[in-house]
Amino acid sequence: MRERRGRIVYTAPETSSWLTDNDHVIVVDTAASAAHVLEGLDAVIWSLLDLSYDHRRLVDLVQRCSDLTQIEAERELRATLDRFTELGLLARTVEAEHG
Amino acid sequence: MANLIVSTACNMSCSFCFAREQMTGASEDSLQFIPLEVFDEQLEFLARSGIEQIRLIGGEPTIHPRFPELIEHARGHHIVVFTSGLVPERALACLERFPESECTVIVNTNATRRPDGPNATELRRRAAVVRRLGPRALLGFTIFRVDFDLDPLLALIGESGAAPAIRLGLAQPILGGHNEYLRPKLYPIVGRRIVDFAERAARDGVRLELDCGFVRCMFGDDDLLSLKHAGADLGWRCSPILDVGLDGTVYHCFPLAGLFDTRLTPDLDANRLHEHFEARTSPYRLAGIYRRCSRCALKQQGECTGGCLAATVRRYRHRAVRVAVPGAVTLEGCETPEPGK
Repeated sequence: MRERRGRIVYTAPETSSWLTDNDHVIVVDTAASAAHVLEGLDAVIWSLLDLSYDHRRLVDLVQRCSDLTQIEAERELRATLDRFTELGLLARTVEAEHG
Repeated sequence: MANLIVSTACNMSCSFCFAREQMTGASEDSLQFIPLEVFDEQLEFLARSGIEQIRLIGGEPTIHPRFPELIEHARGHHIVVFTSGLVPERALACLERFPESECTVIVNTNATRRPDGPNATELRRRAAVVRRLGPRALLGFTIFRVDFDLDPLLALIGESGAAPAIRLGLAQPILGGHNEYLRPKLYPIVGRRIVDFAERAARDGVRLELDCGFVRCMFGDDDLLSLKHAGADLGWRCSPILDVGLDGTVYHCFPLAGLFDTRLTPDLDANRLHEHFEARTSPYRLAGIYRRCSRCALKQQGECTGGCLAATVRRYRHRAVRVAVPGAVTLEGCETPEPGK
């Protein structure tokens, strides 16, 4: 199968809303009537997503927060985004680059 | 518990009103008042739910043109009427005839048409109504600012023979609406003032009843002892009230109107409506009005709900979160990015 450069886009569904409490984030999925409590690095990453940082900046901040190498931080971020997707907190789409 | 909204018209214009989004203003438009046959259906709903108390709210319920007939249809149950206290003569005469054991009229003493609070005329008219209702009247007060003054209520109870209690409510925010409400950060100041007043009230034999939305931490431990000593009815609760509208819409409560509403159908009773609202609201109830609420032991033990759910829900937000992770993707869209490569 031929590969092209592209990107995976993670977005928060319209049905989700969240708040930040003292040391964690609570995300409510109104469609599923469910709530998820995010703690530790998960809460940090969600808060950074909420600040609309781009991928490069996210990797940089995750690296600083968790004392990881850049490659480890990138993997950690990707694994976290995928976990959020499995929980229904994010939706994932794939976009191929044009040209 | 369930409240029947019998009028969406109101003769007041309170800045703190949390029903204003459902109200239609004062007029003689018959669509603003519950038809008797619909009222009877709602009485049947209360009966099949095992609810013995009939609570009439508005708007202003007493301006319903057929208010005496509503009361007549509800006879045999304990009737509770929530009013601004500016009650038309025909409704007042009807309530006066009720034995006090069968009727409670909760008079919101700071309801007003004026932006700067009740004027002398409103106060005089309300006092006259309370005197005629005597022990049927239970005075209420909605706190929406820290500079409230409850002392005139003690005087009114003393001269009117109204029930020796005052029902205190905290003005709560309407979701997506614009009403004046008490900011949670001001609760401790209000708590301190309530304690001071409770001690004075107790000396007059008057006790305080706290409505929903209060939180335990707005009172210190010593303050709580003082309140208990003063005989106050304390509670740190927020649960579905079930406000039933003219058109059969059931609201969790007025401040949350529009978010979890459902319809009253002949097969529904209050238990099932409670289940509906509890299922829909439970995800939001992990949090409370303060950032510390979700980790508070009292909340986790169920002793305090963490304040009004409408104030909590307003803390939640949605933003357009979007992050693009670069990588290699197949033409079919199966991604294969490898971090670090």
